[in-house]
Amino acid sequence: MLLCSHCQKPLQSALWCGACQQLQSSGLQADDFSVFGLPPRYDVDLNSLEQSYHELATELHPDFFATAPAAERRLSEGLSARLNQAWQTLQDPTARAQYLIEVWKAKTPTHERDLPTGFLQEMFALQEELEELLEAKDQQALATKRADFLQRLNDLRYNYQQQLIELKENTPDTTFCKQIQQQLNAERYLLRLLERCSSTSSETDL
Amino acid sequence: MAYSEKVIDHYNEPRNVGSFEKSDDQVGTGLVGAPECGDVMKLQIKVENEKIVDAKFKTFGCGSAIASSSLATEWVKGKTLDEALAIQNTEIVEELSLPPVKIHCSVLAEDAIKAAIQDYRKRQETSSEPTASA
Amino acid sequence: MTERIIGIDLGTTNSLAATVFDQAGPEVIAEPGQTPIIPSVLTMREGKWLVGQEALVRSLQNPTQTLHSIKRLMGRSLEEIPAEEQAQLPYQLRSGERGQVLICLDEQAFTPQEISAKILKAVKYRAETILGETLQKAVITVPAYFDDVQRQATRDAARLAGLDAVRILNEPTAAAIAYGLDERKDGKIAVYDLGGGTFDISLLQLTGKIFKVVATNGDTRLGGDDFDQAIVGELTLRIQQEFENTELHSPLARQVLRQTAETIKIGLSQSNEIEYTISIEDQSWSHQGSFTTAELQPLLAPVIQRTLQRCQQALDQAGWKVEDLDEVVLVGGSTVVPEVRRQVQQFFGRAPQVAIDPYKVVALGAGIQGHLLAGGRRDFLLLDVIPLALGIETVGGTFSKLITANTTVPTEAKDLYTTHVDNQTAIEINIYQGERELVRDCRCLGRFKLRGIPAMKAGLPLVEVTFRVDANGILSVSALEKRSQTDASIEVIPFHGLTQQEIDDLLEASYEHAIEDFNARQLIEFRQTAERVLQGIEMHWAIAEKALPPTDCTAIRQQMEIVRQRMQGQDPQVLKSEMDRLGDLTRSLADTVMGQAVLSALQEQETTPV
Repeated sequence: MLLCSHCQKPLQSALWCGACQQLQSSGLQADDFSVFGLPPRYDVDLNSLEQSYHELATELHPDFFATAPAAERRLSEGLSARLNQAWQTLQDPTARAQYLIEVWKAKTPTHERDLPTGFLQEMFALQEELEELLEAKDQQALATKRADFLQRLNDLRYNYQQQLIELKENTPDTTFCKQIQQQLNAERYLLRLLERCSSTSSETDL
Repeated sequence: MAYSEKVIDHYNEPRNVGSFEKSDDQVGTGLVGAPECGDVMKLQIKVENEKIVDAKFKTFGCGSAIASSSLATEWVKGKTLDEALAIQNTEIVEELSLPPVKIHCSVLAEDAIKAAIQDYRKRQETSSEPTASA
Repeated sequence: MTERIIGIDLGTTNSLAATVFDQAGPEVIAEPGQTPIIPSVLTMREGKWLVGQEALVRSLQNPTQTLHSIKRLMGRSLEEIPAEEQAQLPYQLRSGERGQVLICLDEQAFTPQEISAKILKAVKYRAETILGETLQKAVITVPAYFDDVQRQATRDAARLAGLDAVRILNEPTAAAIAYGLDERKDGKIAVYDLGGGTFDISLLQLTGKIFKVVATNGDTRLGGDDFDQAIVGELTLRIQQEFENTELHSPLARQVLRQTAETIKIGLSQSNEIEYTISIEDQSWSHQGSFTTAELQPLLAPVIQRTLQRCQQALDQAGWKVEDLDEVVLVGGSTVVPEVRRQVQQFFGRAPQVAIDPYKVVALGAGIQGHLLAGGRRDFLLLDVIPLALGIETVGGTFSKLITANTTVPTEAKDLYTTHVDNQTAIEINIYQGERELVRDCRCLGRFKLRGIPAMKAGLPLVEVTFRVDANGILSVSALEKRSQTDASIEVIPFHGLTQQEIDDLLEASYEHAIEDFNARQLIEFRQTAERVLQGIEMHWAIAEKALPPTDCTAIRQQMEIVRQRMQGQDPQVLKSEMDRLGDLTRSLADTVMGQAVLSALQEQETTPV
């Protein structure tokens, strides 16, 4: 349990003490979950997360420190940035899963580039197929492909999200982390395929 | 940041794009991916007497990945397998002055070389096995 | 509440200020019965600057010396301004040392920041005169789609005007505050803000006291000016049909055509047809014609279409549909054009909200935000976003995004850099802002040189660079070498903004005008003192009549009248001397009053212990 650096009372958020209203400079290094005083688990109530986000924003935003001493104003800016980033990560189901894996990885090392067996070969084949369709400008076939990819993406997401929810607050073992990481990796390849489907130009990002 | 003419060249005109027949015993194929961005890279080498005589690649990804693989195919040509194995991603980074956000592209190229050589050696083992037993 | 922070809408065509008086809502700052608007127009006459209405009135006598639409030039380089746009301006532009645009006037060159500073000064001066207090801080609004350079330029303009821009606020967001606090309803709102030179669309989610911007989009070179130009184009055609080989490119002709176009545009907001006559002083012809709304419609349509495309992009970015919206708010002078309203209504499928004057709503919102910053209220919070992605140049001229568009600010991003050569002690990073893949399509914000990296083998140093974006959407950068934990120093080379040295030089130069400013400040102070003295005398007049001979009383009365008259004047020294005279005349009165006060104070003291 984190304690306030001023009044030593337990903190509801690593950024700010509700008891003595003090900004916590140690909060600049806080992890995304402790920003909201949450345990590191996947299952998050988005409504109450948003509510905490709004409450904390109202306490920390630099607009309320415009007349405060410079050091305090800077701290409020830093803490607000931390708060905004943490909210950005936790409210997004994929970013939240990836973040959890990063937290666990510190404890159980995994191979971060792993993919399900045969997945890469399949992706390469699909990319080649897609390239032909794009060159032929076959809109109908492209739309079908796109729908396929989307379905696959949704199934994949549903699958790992269920696994993560079932984990609750238990610390996972290496196999579990590896499984989730593989799926998160696979997700990015699928997103890349989808991106190419919707890009009409052959422009590539350097 | 200034970039060498050579680098820009690799973007505009990537060398050795294409593929060899995968089942050819002389060919080793490396297929690798970068989960950071979803890039996939296929790099193939053609080997004669432990020496790489030709190389080809096909990359679906960003320009940095394309340049890294293009450069990798140039570099491995004429090298022995052991020499090629010694190529490190940092050399590619240096040659292309890749920024930190794109370092994974060079890692990808290094991995592709290693995977291709590994694939070639595995093939030699399996294809030489029947001869040995015969 | 501490020091007052006013809100200033620094517009392309018009500027104005607003503030919140205690216990009351926001109000625009104006003399009773007069317009709060100061046209963003300047001219120079006999070496002296005229700003606002005065300059506008003289613009026809003095077309090449009249500066307008300066906001379109803020934070830009000359090469970024298309030739056709340059041709439309009656004044000349040239390029500064780092490519920044300079405005030529009377064989002098000025940065847009300096010119904007003069407008801000005029706004500040008038607000000070009306409020009777000196002002040092302001919330200044900018188009939401302004990038870092344009925001910095605005902040620098404020500094040159002697104002601390405590907050650079997005115009549509300011409008949303004014509306949102008026209605206090949760929901999704779209703010369509079409000003003289810029267009913004912002989508906000209102939840309790939180105003959260979800997406913003726009075009900083699209606005009512483009309507005028379309009409000018049509007028030019008509004139040249009637009188062949007419020269319409002189600065005077351009100014006449522009003003006629504006009159037609405004006229057609109220009626379906308008008659006009065009003649130019030094030319023999005169052209008469009429314009109908039906003729206007096809001229405006392409410009309006461009704004609606931006609206669709913003909706896509937010993941919202038109039906999700609870309200559409119109802001900016150009939204009074009926065709704009009609098309906006058609696009959004609902009648837009126009309850608050679109000319004033931005300033009012800025005034409310200023009140909040000054500590006057805490009952709402604005969470705004960065309009365009921020990133660095990577190999081959690629733009690598570090912070994506529509990220809530303040925010920060960290990136690691290393060296390529042994014992390398400096690294250069080019920072860009934009939404395109290649840096050549984005704005270069500047070059950051990291120095003081400890000498190590190549690749060993790990320099962690932190990019911070504050609540104003303005970037700052810091760096730390992680292995040695030493701060690398950063030298910022702004591309089109002002360097610190340039700001200092300009401030130095402005001391030449400091006499004017000093006078203004003194005048305000003396007026306040005079007001207090006059009130004091009135309060004790009963005592004066008893204690002083009637001749003295008459003399005091007369002198009070003189002081009252001088208070309306502009010369602080004259006011001061008349006040001194009043002081002399009332000295004996003061003694008497003082004596009485002492006496009564003594009496009070005597009675209190009982």
